[in-house]
Amino acid sequence: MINTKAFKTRSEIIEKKLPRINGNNQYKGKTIVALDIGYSGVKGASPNRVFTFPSYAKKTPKDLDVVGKVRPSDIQLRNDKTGECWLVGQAAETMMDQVDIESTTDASLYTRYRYDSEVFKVLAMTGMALGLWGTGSGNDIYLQTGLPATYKDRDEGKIVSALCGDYAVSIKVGSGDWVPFQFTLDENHIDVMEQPQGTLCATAYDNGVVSQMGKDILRSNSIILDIGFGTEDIFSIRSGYKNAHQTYSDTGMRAVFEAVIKQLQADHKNYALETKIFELQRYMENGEVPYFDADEFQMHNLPFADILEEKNREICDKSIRRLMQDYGNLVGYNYLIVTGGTGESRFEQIKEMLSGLPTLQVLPGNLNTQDLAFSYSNVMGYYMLRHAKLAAEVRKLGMTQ
Amino acid sequence: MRGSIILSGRRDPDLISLYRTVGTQEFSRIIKDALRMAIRGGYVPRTKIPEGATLHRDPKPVNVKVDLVITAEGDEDVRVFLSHARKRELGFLVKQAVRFYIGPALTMQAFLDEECQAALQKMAVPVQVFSLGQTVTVTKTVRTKDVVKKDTTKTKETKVIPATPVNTENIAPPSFNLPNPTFDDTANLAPQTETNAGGTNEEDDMLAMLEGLLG
Repeated sequence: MINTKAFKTRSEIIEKKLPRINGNNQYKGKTIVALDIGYSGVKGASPNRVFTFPSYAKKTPKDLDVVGKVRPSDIQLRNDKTGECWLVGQAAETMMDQVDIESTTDASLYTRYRYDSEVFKVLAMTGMALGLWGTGSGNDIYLQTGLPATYKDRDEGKIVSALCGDYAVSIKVGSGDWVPFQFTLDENHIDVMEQPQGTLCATAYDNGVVSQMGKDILRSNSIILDIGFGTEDIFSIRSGYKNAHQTYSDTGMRAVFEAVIKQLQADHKNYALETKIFELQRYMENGEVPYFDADEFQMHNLPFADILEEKNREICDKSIRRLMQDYGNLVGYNYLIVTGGTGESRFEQIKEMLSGLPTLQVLPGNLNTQDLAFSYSNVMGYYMLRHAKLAAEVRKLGMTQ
Repeated sequence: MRGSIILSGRRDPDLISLYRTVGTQEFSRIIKDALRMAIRGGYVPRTKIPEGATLHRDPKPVNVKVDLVITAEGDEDVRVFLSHARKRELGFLVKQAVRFYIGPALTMQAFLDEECQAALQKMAVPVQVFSLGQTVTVTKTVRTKDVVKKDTTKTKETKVIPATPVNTENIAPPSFNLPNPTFDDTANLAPQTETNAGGTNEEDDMLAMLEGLLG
């Protein structure tokens, strides 16, 4: 039986030094924050750390009474302009009560029409604050983010206008103190790229230095398969040229969760199960969905680990068969790079399925950052590309001085 | 604004060494640039700090008097900034600004012997810019009366000192107490120096290739 905990969106901050653009007596320093605001989790990379937390936020009363021990992963955010307080990430998920479950729809969380929502802005503010924590106060701030390949052209303007502007927020992590942040994010300092391209850039640079493997991947016929919670993105290169990109929304982890709920409902027809997709994240810890039978006045725990494993396998099979159909059975391709949190859970299966293609090498998305999970690959690539671009600008300036 | 500051032979050997290395005129420019850098976010200085220079100390400590002449019209913000210095501490303020500008490597060199200076020059990485941002705002309102034959232009100055900018540099970073991965420090330091010290063709090629692919 699989461990369902591995499918739960992580909540962690890892101290990791990334390459940076320092200022000197000629130029101002530049702080890069890369954010990947996904459907299930927000992933971030900044000069001092990488982090991730679930994409969920809940408004709280101004003074939140804490009873007992505060968990180190609890994040609180205060908007210093409006005075509103929010619980963010895992803490907010845990605080979810019946009213929240009834008032929140899967559509409000998982559709792409969410850039103007308060929750989306709170998640972005939290990501920015975590990224900027401990960086130089006088530096220019640059934000690099991404969108699913097919939505990029349509939604780029929306995401930029939602993220630019003046920020005045305070953040509290665990039992620490409130830390204030005041900064302006210039519209021109926000750049949006296609999500799977992030992994491509992450393979190209090993901690800011061009990697040999990355060069080979760019010059060969390669496919990036980015399977996240909401979407599966495919980006292909043929001999150094962009070939095609596709986005599917029926093969991500969300589709697996949907199938699990349907299967549970089918297996327990006599129970009126109304579990929502985002609720299932909470139950990943134990691998059981609790159900209260009002007639019997009895609590039932419905285990779903086996169903999850089976559905994930089925959907992975569907995804790979479609990929092979779309890309000429992958004949003529040298590399398939699997990335994304869901991609990580399917990596071994994909490798096994494609083991009959000797010319194809199936590589993990975290090729250059093996100490990090696959889910960080896109955001690491966002960071590396922006760093490379800014470093090139600084070099050019240095030459013209 | 015209005045002077005294560089003490005992307390400011770093600044005296720099003064002797670059000369009187250049040192005055460095002072001005240091003050402008401190209060103007994004200001690009005109002077270049000597890189890799070995600073020689005077065998006998002698005080040096340096003229402080800030009369340019565009330096009104500098004058306003200096007018806020505590009584009898203007000299300290100016000297500290210069030290922040020239950076720790050059400041420390003057206190070290020549052998150690050479080692420090090899180790030194570009310093992070110190700037208080747009600390001083000088707003000029020009009112002109329509009176014939007489120029009655009046200038009103408003001094605005905004709240201290938030500096999160000294605040301990957050941690979830989860096991942190280990990483090689030398590998992490490499790109930092590389960024400002000039890159390679390989990097430009890769960037061009990626930009072409990403569209």
